[in-house]
Amino acid sequence: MIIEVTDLWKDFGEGPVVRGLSFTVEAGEVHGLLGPNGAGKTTTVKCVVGLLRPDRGAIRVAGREVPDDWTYKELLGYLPENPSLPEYLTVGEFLLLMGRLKGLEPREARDRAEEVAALFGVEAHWERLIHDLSKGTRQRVAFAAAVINSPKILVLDEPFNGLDPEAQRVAKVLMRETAKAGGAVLVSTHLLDSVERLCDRATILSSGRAVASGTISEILRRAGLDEGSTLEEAFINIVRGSRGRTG
Amino acid sequence: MIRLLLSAKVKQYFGHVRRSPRSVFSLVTFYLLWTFVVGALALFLRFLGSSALGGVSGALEVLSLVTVTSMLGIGAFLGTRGGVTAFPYEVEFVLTSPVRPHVFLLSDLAFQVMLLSLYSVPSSLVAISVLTYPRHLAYLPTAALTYLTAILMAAMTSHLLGVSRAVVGERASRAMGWAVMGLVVLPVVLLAVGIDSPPWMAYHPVQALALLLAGDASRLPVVSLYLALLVAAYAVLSRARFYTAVSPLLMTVLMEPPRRMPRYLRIPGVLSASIGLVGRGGLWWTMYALHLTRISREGSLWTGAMVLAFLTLVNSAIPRLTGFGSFPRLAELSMVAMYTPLLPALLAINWNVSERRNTWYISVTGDALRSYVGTLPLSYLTVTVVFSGLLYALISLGAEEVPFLLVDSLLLFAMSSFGSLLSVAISVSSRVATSPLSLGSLLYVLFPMLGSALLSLPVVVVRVLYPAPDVVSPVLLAGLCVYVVSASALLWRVVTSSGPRYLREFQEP
Repeated sequence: MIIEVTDLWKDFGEGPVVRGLSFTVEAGEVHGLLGPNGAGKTTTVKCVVGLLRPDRGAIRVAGREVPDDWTYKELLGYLPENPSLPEYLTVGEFLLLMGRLKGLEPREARDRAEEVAALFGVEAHWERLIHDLSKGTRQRVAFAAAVINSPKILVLDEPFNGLDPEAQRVAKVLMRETAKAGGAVLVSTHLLDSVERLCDRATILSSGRAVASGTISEILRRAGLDEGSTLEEAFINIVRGSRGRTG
Repeated sequence: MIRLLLSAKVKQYFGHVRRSPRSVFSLVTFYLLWTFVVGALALFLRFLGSSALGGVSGALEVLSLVTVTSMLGIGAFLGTRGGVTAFPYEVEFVLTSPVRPHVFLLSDLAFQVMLLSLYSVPSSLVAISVLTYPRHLAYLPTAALTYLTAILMAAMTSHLLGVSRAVVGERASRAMGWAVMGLVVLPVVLLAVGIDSPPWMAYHPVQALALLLAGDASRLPVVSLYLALLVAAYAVLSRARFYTAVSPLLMTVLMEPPRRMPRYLRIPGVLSASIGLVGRGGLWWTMYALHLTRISREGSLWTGAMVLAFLTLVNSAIPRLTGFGSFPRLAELSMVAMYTPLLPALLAINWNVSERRNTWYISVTGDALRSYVGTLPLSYLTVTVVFSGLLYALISLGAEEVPFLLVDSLLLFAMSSFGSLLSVAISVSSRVATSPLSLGSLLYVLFPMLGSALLSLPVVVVRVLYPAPDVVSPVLLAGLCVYVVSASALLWRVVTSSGPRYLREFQEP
C-alpha cells in the first residue's frame, strides 16, 4: 500500500479533531476522503503530507515514516484546500520555482513548467503576477504546481474549488492517469457525485472517526441502501447515524 | 451604531487576549515592560539634560518636539501610504452594509485614538514625570491633554488624507500627503541641520503643540485654532463616499498596496536580476533570490527604508539641541545604529503578514525549508547593511566628515546582522499573530532593537571609550570582528536548525 494511516490522533487544544483514524490507499487507487464540515478531513490531509505532526498514531507514505523521513516528499504532489500562493511571483517564476524545489534540473523544470502550464491552460498568463489572477486561474496554477514533478502520489484537498468544468476534467483525467500508472490519489472533497464516478474506494469521516470505508458499493450496503441509490443518500444516512450514536 | 462598530473593532483587535488568561498576563507584562523602557530612556535623557546639555527644560522641549513630530508624521505617513484602513471583516461585511461613511470613519477614529492613547499616553506621562520630578504635578495635566490632542490630530490627518483619495484621486492625495509630512518635519529638520527657526515658526502646529506639551500655555489659542480647522475639514470630508478607497488593514500599512506591485517588474537592473535568479542556481541561492524578490516587489524595502530614514532624521535633532555638537559623528552613528534593527523588524512583520501562509509549498517539497529559513536572515542582512550604510554615509557627508571608520562599519554590520537574525528568530518561532499595528508588532520591533544593542555592546564600548576610534589597534579590531562573526554564525545556526521545526509545527489547523 502507498498511504497507510494507523490510529491517527490530532488535538489543537480544544478536544481531538481526529480520533483514532485508520485507512489505507493502495497502489492504483483513487481514494476519497469524505465527511461533513469539521469532520477532520483537512487535518488528516495535512498530517499525511507532513504539514502537521500527529499527536498519536503512525502514517507511512511509500513505506516512509511521516513526517520524519522527508524523502517521501519527492514522490508527492499536494494541493491544499485554499492554496495561498506567492503573489509577488509571476506564474512562470512560481512554476519554475516549484520544479526546482521538487528536485528537477533547471532545463527540465522549465520544460515541465511549460508543459503543465499548457495542460491547465495558464500558459497565456506566464508573465503575469499571481496577484493579478482570478481565483479560478490561481487554482489552475496551484494544480499545475502540484503535478509539476509527475508525482506518484497525489494528495488533493477540495481540488475542484473554483475550477471550471474544463479544468475539472483535466484534473480528473490526471488523477485517473496517476492511479493507472501505479500511483495513488487521496482526494478530500464535498462533491459526492465526483467521488462516485472517480474514486475506487472512499472513507467517510465524522467527528474525527472513520464511520465507513470501502468501495462505493460497500458504503451503500453499509448505509443499508441498494445499488441504485446514490452516494449522497448513503453519506447522509451514515453521518446522521454516527451522530446519533455519539450524541 | 458607532458604539457597535467600535466594540467589534476592539474585540477583533484584542481577540487573542480573550482566548486564555495567559494571553492577558503576557499583554500586561509586555505593557509594563514597555512603560518601564520609556521611563528608563527618560531617565537617561534627564541625566544628559541636567549635566551639560541644556538643562531639564531643554530636554523636555526636545522630547516634546520629537514626540509630536513622530505622532503627526506617522499619522500623515499612514494616511498617505495606506489610506483609510479597515479590518478585512469590515471590508467584506461592514462596508457592504448600509453604514454611512461618517459613522464608519468616526468609529475608526475613536478606535485609533483609544489604541494610540493606550500605547503612548501612560508611558509618555511616566517619561514626563521622570524628566520634571519634583515639579511633575504641574506638568502632567497639560501634558495629558496635549498628548490626547496630538493623537486626535494625527488620527484625523491620517483619515483626511485617506478620504482625499476618493475625492481628488490617488496621485493628488499622495502629493498632499508628502507635502503634509514635509511640513510636519520642518521644525525638526531645521533643528537637525542647525538653522535658527524664524519667528513665524512659533505658529507652526508641531512647534505650537510641542511648546504646549513642554508647559508653555501661551500656545493654547494656536493649537485650538488648528484643531478647529481640522475638525471642520473632517466634518466636511467624512461625508464623502470613500469606501472604494478603503484598504484592508493587514496588507497595506507597511507594504505597497498589491495593485501597485506590477510596476516593480518594469524596474531594470538589480531587481530584474534578482527576479531572473528564481529557477537558476542551487537551492540556497534560489531561496535567497526568492526573499529578495519578495522584499523588493511587495514594497517592504521602500517603506522600511523610509521609516528608518525618518526616525533617524527626527532623532538626530536630539544630540544637536542637547549639546552633543562637539561629538556629532558619534551621535549620528548612534542614531543610525540604534534604528538599524528597525528595518529587519519591519521586514519580519511583513513576512509574518504576507508570506508565512505561503510556506506550505516549501514545507511539502523535500528539505527546502532549511534553506528557506537559513537564507531569510541573509536577505534581511543584505538589505539592512546596504541601507544603513547609505544612510550613515549620507548623514556623514552632509556633516562634511569622512564616513566609515572601520569600527563604525563594524558597528553598523553588527547591528544589521544581530537585528536580522533576531527578527527572523522572533517571527519564525512566535505564534503571535501580527498586523502592522498590533501589540505583537511592537514585540517584533523591541526584541531585535534591544537584543542587537546588547549583543553589539563590545563594539559600542570600544567605539565610545577608545581614545582614538579612527586608529583602533588592529588586534582589538580583529578581536571584535571575530566576536561579531562568530556570534552571528552561532545565532544563524540556531535559527536555521530550529526555525524549520517551528514553521512546520505552527501550521494552522
